[in-house]
Amino acid sequence: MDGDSDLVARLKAGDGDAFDSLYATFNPRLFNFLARLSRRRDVAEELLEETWLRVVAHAPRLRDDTRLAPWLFTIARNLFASYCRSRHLDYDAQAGIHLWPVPISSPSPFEAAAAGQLQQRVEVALSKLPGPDREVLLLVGLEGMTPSEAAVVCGVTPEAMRQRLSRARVRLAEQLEFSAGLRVARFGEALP
Amino acid sequence: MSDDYRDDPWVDAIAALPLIRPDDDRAEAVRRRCRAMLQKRAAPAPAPDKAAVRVSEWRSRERQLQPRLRPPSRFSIRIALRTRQS
Repeated sequence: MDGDSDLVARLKAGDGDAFDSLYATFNPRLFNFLARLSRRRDVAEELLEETWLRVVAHAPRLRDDTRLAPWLFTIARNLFASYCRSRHLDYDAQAGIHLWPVPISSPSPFEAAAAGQLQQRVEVALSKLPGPDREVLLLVGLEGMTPSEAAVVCGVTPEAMRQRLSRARVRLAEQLEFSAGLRVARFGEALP
Repeated sequence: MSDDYRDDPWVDAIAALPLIRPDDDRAEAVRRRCRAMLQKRAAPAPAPDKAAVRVSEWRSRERQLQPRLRPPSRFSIRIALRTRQS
């Protein structure tokens, strides 16, 4: 990518404007990713700051062909995995811990932000998925990465990523069906 | 379910989820801090002060030339006292 190689060269040279440009592009996206992954705003803020400190520490040693988006999301994702390990949180079973509970009766800030009904349901369904499923769906769905790029971020082979994506899609569909079922039972939408 | 994930309706739904924005003040503080760190890291190391280097070399040479001063041993003190007595 020409744009990336130019930016990488400028970052390696310590160009402050290049850093500002990178920061403006990726800071909201990285925060969005970390906030939806961790379900906690304070944790996302801390991890985001640490991500940028790592970026700056490693920038002078970047390879010329580095692709910035996968690199940045890899740092953020690894920091979140380390955070889970340090807190003895099971990354795989995070959905069961409910760090940010999302009951149907009282919408969370995430749900409140989601305007449409489908978005709201997707938000709730995402929050109930295990961490690895959620990160795959966020990288592919929200960030628009290909499964191969997401594989680089998650440190797995493209084939393993395709399997994870397929599994995550099935689980998301199950969650969406489950929430639709709850809605029907709760409000009697589809009852005669 | 389709084999291609791009056919799923959730792709559009997730892509359309609203952006959760970070705190502006903190983001600005982090940006300034990291920008300064990047510029500092990439800046070439300042050339060493020639005068300071010369002084340091001179001092190290002096240290090498100076004889090692050892505290007198009990034996050498006794010899010195006997010499003085005689």
